[in-house]
Amino acid sequence: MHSGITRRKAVGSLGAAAAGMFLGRPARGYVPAPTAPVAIGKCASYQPSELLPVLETMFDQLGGLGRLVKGKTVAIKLNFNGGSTVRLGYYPLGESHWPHPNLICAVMSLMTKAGVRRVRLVECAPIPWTTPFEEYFLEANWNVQDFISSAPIVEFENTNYLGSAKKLSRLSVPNGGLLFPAYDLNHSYVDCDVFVSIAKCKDHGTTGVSTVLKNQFGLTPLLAYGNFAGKWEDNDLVAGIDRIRVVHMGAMQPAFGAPAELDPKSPRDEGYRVPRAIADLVAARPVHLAITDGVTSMAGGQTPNPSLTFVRPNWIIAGTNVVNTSAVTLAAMNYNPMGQKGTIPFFRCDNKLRLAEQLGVGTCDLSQIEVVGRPIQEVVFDFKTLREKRQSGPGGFGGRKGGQRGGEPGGPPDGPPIGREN
Amino acid sequence: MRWLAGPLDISQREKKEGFTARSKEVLQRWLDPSVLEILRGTPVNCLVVSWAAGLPADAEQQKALVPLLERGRTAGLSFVGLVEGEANQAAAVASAREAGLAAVIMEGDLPHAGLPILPLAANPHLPWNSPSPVLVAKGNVWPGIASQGLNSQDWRRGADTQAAGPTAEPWIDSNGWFLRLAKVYAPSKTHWLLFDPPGGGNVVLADAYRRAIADSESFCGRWVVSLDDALRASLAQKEQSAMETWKSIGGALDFFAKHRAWETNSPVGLVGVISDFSGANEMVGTETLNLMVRRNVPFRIIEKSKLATAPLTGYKALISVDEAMPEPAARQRLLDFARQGGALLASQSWKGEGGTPTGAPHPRLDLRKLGKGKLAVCKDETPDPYMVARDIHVLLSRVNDLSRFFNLSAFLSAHTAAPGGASALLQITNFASATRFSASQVTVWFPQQYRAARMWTLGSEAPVALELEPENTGVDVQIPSISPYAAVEAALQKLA
Repeated sequence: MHSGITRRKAVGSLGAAAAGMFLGRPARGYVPAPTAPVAIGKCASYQPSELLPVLETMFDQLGGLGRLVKGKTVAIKLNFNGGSTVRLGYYPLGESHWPHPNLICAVMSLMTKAGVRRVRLVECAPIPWTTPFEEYFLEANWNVQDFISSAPIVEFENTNYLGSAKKLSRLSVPNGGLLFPAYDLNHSYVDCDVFVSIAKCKDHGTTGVSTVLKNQFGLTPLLAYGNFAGKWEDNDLVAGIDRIRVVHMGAMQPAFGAPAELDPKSPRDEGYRVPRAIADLVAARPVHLAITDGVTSMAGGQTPNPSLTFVRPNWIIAGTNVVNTSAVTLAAMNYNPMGQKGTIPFFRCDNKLRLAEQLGVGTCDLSQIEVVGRPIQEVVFDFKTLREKRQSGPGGFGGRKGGQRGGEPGGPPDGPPIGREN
Repeated sequence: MRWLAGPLDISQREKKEGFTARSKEVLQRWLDPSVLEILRGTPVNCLVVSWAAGLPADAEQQKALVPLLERGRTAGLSFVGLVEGEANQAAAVASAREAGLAAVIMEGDLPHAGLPILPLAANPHLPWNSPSPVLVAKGNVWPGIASQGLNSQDWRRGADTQAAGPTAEPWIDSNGWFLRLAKVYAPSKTHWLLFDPPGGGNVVLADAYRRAIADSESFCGRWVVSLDDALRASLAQKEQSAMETWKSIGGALDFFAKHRAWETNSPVGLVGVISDFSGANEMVGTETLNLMVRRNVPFRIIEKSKLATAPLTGYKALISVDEAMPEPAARQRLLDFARQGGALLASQSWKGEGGTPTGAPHPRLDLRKLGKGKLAVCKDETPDPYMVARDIHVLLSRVNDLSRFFNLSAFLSAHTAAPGGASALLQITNFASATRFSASQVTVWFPQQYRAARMWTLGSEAPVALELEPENTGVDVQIPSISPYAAVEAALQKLA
């Protein structure tokens, strides 16, 4: 990470600053994509006493946080998908489908130690614009004060809306984009020097797997990309809670003046569209630091329902290239990050990692990625086998036991996704 | 229990849509004293019968009821006559007295009746100062998802949808708000609610009856249980499924009868709703209560007439949306409350009452800083109660939540504290019966570090101990299921 980066340069250079080596690539072809080290740390709990040393070691292995965040404004994208009052069994949200608050606070604390100037926590939350974003944390039973006290200046921004800006900020996809030429986003995704993605590792019906890469899908504000974009409920709540019609299905074009898609005749298949939107977004809004929370999580889907399985992979994976980091995460989940459409986990979709690679964001070829810290083989948690069992079992293999605190993996096949995708 | 039977009920109902030959047959059948057998072993000890309505069938009704009254009295039941419409009240009361009824329910007063009169009025216009220990309210709603819901199935339309309000929150009809108000205006009285199950093609499930009972009892009221035509027909035939439904209804009634002590609890809530709930303020005042219940925001009611002296300790936010400004002393108290750190959401009449604009844009409220607190003045002359209920929750902030719920989608809760505050009681009625999330593995978080919690369910003789997990400075209480009701007791010490 270059020390002289500014927020405008960060966006304008399309990720060059993120890994320190991205030079811009053509949208297609097999020219080697950028690569940067990815760190793996073993971590068995969310106790700060365990999290802090593990994360600190990992960040040191990546070259240190100081060169990335010192004196900078950092935006952290939070991966709040699935609703704030839904739990997998009795598990608090941070143990199953949202990144754990202690992990986020630990990252913020280490950034503070490294000299960060300001941290802005960002996410598209389906709450009225008159409701402070912090209230969404509280609704999920998170302690807002823990966040506030973790960095010198902490701001909360619900990126579904304009915030303090007068309009959305347009971010163009280099080389034209795969689905949209540009995306209109909340100003916080532009007005930051460093952009961080923190996400859980989970299965995902539409795009195979949900990690730090899929997290970028949630950059798109419902104001422009929601099911009823352009309409309002109750004056101050944007209508619709997901992006099915605009992004998934292409049944309508974005609202609020956002650019229309490139090819209205392209497939209306979400397995085609959503991976491309994610690849576009990660190219348009480069990620400087990606952190996958795999201490605990759930298998079988990305939003809780009683059929999913609580799991304890006991690891954290971080890197400065989001595609590299996502590739290593998939490998640690026992999936092939280079898998083709039709193979597990990309049954019904194109591989978003490969699409992002084609856009020049980063490679998903493990042979090209340096893994530091623990080797992948040592930490693999077998999401793949769990998934195969789900698909082969007629009625599941454990009922709801897996949804209980302390329960063992189990549960019937994947249930219907509920809630938004972020 | 409402005992619909006889020629007067036939006469009153035969002009209504959906009345069939079978309906008539059932109303005739329930005149048969043998049907009273279904009450054996249940806590039902009083039957409300139609007595007079100013119709030609009145006399025939009173005559037809005689065998039922005689058998019922022998069985220890008391009977209350319902006098409605254009009935000659004096004559009706006289005949009721002669027939040995225990009381009559009717609108208005009748001095020297020689028989207890239980005053009847549409809610919320009850004669709170009546000497009667029982007040009877009509104009109530059938509790459930609004209009058409998961508590019944409309076979005619094949509907399987649930109504929702704005923001997709379930729109639950409840009488809880009225009972909260009734307990403020007439705390020592018993409040009976008259309402019937949905008619037409609705099949009313056992859980819908149990919800209706729980919705009343959670808020310290008594539903005068009224059964739908289909169930009454089946009960008269002693059909097994109907008897099971009836048994579950009886179990719910019995459960609450055994927990009358809970009615000595006091509502908890950091939000105070101030109004006279009458005249021009009735709609916004009562609907605000309704929507506070619906949003599960614990609140307490402050009578405007007592505002000058009412203690405001323990409140963090107040709603005062009556059209006119309170009288000067009360107004000053409210301003002082805000200056000392409270949040005051006030009607447009408070415009110009001081404070400094915060500069935060808001479509409905003029947000001002006042001393250490907040003053939020409605921009509209007539504020939308739904928005009032929502906005006060934001002004208060969820940091002050007294509970948080997980894996519940359509529910109402009544949160009270035992005398002395030794324990808390959270009664939860689950109105969603068909969704997977609605009933299982529910978590309720409390900010207190409770060390013991237990759950009662309808029909249970003993509570079940609940697992607790420390979480976010408080405690998660784990509830295996809520179907359709659970009462959670939690305490800092071991529960007695």
